Amino acid sequence: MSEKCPVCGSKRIEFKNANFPIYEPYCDKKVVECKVVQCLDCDYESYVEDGLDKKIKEAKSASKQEALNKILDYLTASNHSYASLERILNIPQRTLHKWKSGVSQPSAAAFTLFKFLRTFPWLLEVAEENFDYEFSQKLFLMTAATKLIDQMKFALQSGPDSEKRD
Amino acid sequence: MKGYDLQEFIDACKLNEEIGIYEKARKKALELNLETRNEIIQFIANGGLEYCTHQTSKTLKYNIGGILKDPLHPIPIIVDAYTFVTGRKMGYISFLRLQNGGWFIKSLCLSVTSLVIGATVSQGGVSR
Repeated sequence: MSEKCPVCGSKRIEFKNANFPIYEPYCDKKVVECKVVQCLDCDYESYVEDGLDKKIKEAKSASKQEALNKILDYLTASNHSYASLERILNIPQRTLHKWKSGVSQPSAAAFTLFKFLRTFPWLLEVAEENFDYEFSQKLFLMTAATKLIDQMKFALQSGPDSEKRD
Repeated sequence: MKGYDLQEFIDACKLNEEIGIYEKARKKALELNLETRNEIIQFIANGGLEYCTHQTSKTLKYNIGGILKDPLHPIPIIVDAYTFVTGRKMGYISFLRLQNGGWFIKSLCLSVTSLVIGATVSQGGVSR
């Protein structure tokens, strides 16, 4: 570790412990413990690299595994077995078991697909109907309308004039 | 007036030269889904800074004993700031170069304009 600031050359630098945040959708937030070097004479402040990228990648990989497990749990809780998910998504049988147990990892594209499915679960029905355009459009509108009606009901129930209306 | 040639900075990223990144830039780069140092450098090297527009060129200020003072260096260090577009978002980057040739990324984040657009969309009830 250099004992002087790389920007201003000052020797008045301090090392302190810090946390690097790891964000992954559908997974609890995590942090990687690391060190930060701070110059007291200029506003230079930087993470001490010392294998930080490797630690971030490892933490990210663990977060992805956790997120994938939660997504699979969510999808199977809505009446889908692994076998049916594999059939609908046209992926080899037992693939989801392997992903879930960590025997193999999904590609970045496959993982993104599962995040889309978790965000818009009705896309599974689109896949099940073999991406029929007419069906997809109707399902999209029905889902949007249902969501809109739910929002309107909520607004009516929780609005400032809700008591008067009742 | 710009302090540096932007292309020289991008070329330095392409060559994967020693490029320092400020802690705030590392943290804020998460807004752009860039997590590791390598991801940040590769993003810049591979044309990630689209429609780059020069914003400001300011002298790096020093904070000595809590008081902002002029630079100690005989030749002031210039910090160039640019906005850029990536996907549907607008980003902001600032960087500096030392006399020894070393580059430092001082800021890398979503620009204020992007945040304003995001807030407007959220208020309209479109997002989440």
